[in-house]
Amino acid sequence: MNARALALPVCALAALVVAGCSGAEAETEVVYAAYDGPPTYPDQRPNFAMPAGDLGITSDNGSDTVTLIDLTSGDILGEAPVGRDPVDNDGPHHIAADRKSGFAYVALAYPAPAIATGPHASHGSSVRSGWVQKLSLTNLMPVGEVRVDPNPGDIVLSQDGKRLVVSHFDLARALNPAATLEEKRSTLAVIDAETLAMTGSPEPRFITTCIAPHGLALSRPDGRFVYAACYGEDEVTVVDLDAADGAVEHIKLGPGAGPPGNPSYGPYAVVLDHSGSKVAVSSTESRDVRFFDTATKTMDATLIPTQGAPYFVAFSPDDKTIYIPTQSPDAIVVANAETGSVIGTHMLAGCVAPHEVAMATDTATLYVVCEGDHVGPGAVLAVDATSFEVRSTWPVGVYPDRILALPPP
Amino acid sequence: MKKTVFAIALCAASLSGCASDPGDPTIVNETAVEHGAFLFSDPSASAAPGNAFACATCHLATDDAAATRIYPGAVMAGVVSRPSYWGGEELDLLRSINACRFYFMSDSKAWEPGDELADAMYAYLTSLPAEHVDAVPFSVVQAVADLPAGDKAAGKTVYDRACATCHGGMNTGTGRLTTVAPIIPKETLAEHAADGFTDDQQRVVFIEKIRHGGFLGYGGTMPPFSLEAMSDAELADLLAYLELY
Repeated sequence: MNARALALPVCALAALVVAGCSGAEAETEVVYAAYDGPPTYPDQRPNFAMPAGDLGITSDNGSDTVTLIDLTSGDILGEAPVGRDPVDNDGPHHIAADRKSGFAYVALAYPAPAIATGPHASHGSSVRSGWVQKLSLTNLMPVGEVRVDPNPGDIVLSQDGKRLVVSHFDLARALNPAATLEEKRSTLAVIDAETLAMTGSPEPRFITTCIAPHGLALSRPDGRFVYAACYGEDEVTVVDLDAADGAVEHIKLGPGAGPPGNPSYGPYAVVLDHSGSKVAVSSTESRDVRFFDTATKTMDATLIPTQGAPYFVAFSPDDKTIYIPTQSPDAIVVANAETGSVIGTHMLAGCVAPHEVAMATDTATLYVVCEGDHVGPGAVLAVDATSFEVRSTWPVGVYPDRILALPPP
Repeated sequence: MKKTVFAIALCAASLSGCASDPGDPTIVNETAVEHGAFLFSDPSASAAPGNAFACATCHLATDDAAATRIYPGAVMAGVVSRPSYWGGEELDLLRSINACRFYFMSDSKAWEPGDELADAMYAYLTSLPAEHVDAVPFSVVQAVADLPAGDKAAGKTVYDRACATCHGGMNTGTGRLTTVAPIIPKETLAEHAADGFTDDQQRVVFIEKIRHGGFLGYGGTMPPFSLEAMSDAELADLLAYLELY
């Protein structure tokens, strides 16, 4: 129960007392009864029934939403807003998830105020902290969050679902002409996924890595090593999370690397193959896919040139074939991952700006997430992995940039 | 448990040396719904020092045909049943309330279900008529641009309906709710002139502030006026009244 004193009688009383103690009035005290009705603020969110087969998840960074898809039935299970700001774009940029624990983790990359066009767009700092938000897969309700550095780029989860790693694709930092090499470099944030709560989440461990790291891959099953596509330094950066200082190693993609912050290759995405022995590195400036050997920590000689800029690839189950989404031209390039020879290039009707490919558990279908025009809805396409016939097209939110295809736990 | 405020009376009595006893306080028992109604209309929904804003500053509780103000927020009747809030950006009522308390009322400590004040507010909101149970449109103009010239006389009406409650009289601030709200337009013009803004830019500054409030990089505690709350024509009239040409 609570009580309040009514201000006016008290003030009047005080005045009268000071004036001569005459006409004193008793003050009024209000005593409130406790609420004793049904539970307050019941959860009114729609619940999403997890499918028996593969679950598709997209992060739609232009519409502040996450979309869930039953990839077997083809049903859109639902789309829900995420983020912390009820007006501005929260920029949900990439997402990781674990069906066993029932949680997804989305990186919120708040844009610079320049999204607004008023005179204040150029005012103040364009550096806004990023956040990682933990969502219940049941209804996409936020159940935890923690602040990270500005411009989170990629987010990956260890196989046991416990370790989250976030890159920071901080181009503003990278392009600061007055900064030293170390000052241009951004961090990786390492987060204990289980400790995330809506308040009081432990601060992540931050490890300075390289200039504008973007795509990330974690070693399996231990999640000990992080392989980062280091856009601003034309390299793969390896971080040992068991080492106190991260034991950061920098491996150039090849000869002729650009000066810091001005890449010649521009590695943007990395994907670890099923065996864990090599990482495919997609470079958007040199427009090719190269491979990093995780045992020797060297680049191998295999090279797949692509006409368009390559993004997040998928490997066949035997790791012999690689499916590469490219933009401008928009296509899926199929190549031999051992020799680098291109097997075919497929333009997909209804797919503008493919960003990532994922393979279905049954290996018969590829799922391709297509950014679209960044104004209207993007799309996820289900594509026959052999004929490349488009079987289904699902509209999702605006500017989707990740497709997860997760088997049941 | 009950608490009361004796400080002023006791202090005054002590200073005067008067032995007069004001007597026992008069106890008034009220319900949780009444508690919520009080919170709705009182700044104490926020614990932030100096906060002058209440839910009722921006929201009507129920439809009121006699109301003349332009409210940036939606009518609250039916709010507990709505499927979404903030133009679809939020799905949870309490998160939405906490967003208001954070952005407009400067309280960073979120209410949780079971908190006394949160529960009282819920009791009150639940007691309101279920009149507007559908999601309420709330279209924020993200990219602002200049507007055609408006009507000055009509703009005075817009000012009185939308601005005067918080900012007081034009260029006087008479009756303003709090000194946190600048006297407009003169204080805002002076501030931005000092920052080197041109006259044309100053006009768009007002458009930007009215459309974005404290969001989209601007800062401050003002709410955004959506297209549903204030049309571009009304905004153009307001600019004319403020003599921003």
